[in-house]
Amino acid sequence: MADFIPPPKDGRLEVALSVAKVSALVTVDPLKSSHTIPQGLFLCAFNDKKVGITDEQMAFFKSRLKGFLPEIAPTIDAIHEDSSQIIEDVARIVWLAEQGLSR
Amino acid sequence: MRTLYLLAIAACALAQTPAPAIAIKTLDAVNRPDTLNLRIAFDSILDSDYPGDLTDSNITILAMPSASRLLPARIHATDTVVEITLLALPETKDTAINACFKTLHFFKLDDPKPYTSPPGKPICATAKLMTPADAKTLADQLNAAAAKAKADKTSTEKNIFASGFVTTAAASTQGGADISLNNSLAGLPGANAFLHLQKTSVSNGDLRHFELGLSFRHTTSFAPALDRKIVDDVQKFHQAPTEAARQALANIINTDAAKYGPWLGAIQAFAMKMEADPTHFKATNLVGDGDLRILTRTLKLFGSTNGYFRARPLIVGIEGGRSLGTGEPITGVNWIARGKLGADLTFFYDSPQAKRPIKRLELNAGGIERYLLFKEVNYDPATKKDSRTGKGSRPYFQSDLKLFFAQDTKARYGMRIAYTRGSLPPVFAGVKSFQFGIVFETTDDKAR
Repeated sequence: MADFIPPPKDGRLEVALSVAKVSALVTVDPLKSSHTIPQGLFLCAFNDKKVGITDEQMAFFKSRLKGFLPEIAPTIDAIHEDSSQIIEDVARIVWLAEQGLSR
Repeated sequence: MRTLYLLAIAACALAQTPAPAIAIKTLDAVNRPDTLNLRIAFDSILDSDYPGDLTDSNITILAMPSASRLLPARIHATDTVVEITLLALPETKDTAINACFKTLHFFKLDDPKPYTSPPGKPICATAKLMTPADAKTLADQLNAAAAKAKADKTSTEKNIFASGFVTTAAASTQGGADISLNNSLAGLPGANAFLHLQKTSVSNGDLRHFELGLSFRHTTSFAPALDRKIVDDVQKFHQAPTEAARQALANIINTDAAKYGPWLGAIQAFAMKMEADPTHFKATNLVGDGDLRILTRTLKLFGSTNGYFRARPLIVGIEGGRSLGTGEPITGVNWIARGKLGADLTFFYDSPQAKRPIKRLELNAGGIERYLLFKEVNYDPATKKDSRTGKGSRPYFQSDLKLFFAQDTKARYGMRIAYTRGSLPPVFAGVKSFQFGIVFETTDDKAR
């Protein structure tokens, strides 16, 4: 049997779960990250009508994301609390910050 | 004959309508000591029914400028992103990576129809190789760019309790200004600079409200134990040794994530601000402001995915400070002490295909009661000056309702009803306004 190689930790699951913590409109299946509800969640803005997050709620999103990824806390702190940001853009920032860590 | 001619023109127009395309939105390549990691983000949703799209035969990775081909060691795809790990690192002279997909099957957002990229037109992108330090720098630059982009556009989301009470509605005020700017301070997590202005020339509608200051906020989750458990579950999920273990942990995460109730948490906010009557900036106060806000999550509207509901059912706080000037010869106005209590809510419903007459509904409503313990300057509508004093109850209520009854591909049509009553610091000019009008909005939710 071939060795099991888990997918890389890229921060997307953590971003999706943090969004789902703030908005009950969003659900995430960790195994099927292509099957977030709504489909194409990462192409939506935080304040999209299918997500419904406000600027003020962005503070809770960041706090939750920092709980998942404390190693990049300074980068998460710097995420602007602007709910018109596209979720994918924040996921990219998270991936870049994870790549920037010396491990 | 003329009909045939028109039909021919229509057919040509349809034939020329470009088919939906897929493009690489961003390509990032980070050259780490042991691996080269690529992240390719698309502007469309990848169709998971076509695993062949993500195989070596469909993907070409070239190190540039040598044009040597690099073979993926691992390809991992999510809905809009493909991550590729490469073990064969480029030659030292190579400074960039080119990634190409021969064919991709995809969906566009909000469009259930499947699409295929045209044959013979690969989807490609090239990016400079980054070091881990470059990646961190780029992350910081993207954060800074997002902050600048926000500063460059007019805020449409007014923060009802950003410091004092501003407004729930994103509406301009006739013959005046309704501005709400909130900017986080770099390097100070939770700190914000804010400016709020509501000034108009409309009779009985001028709140004479201006405040400028710095605030600090802290968030508290109402489910800290559940938060910690899910964090632990996710860590175990990433380290699971087998697919079966991952499956089991995914089920646990799903079960736990479903346990979050309607409450999101609390915000504790503190601010130091200057309040003024923006007419002449003579009546001014220096005020410290502390409040506690309880927030709900964004919740499905009666179980429907066509809308949502969210609220701040309780906001309680105190304001204290000192009058810096009154503008008029008034005595007995010195110290400021206020208590405040309020709440607000948002309903949103959107179902353009619904048979019921209302296709879309947006309701924002909120109210706050301030109680002044000491005498403060009040606006006198008789003299049109800040020449009165008063204390006690100073309520304020505002609601904004938009109803849309029809929608086509470009716009939706409806009506707006707005009602405002009460007064705000620093001079508590009473307003009582009712607005009713026809509304026309573009359907992209951007331009209005």
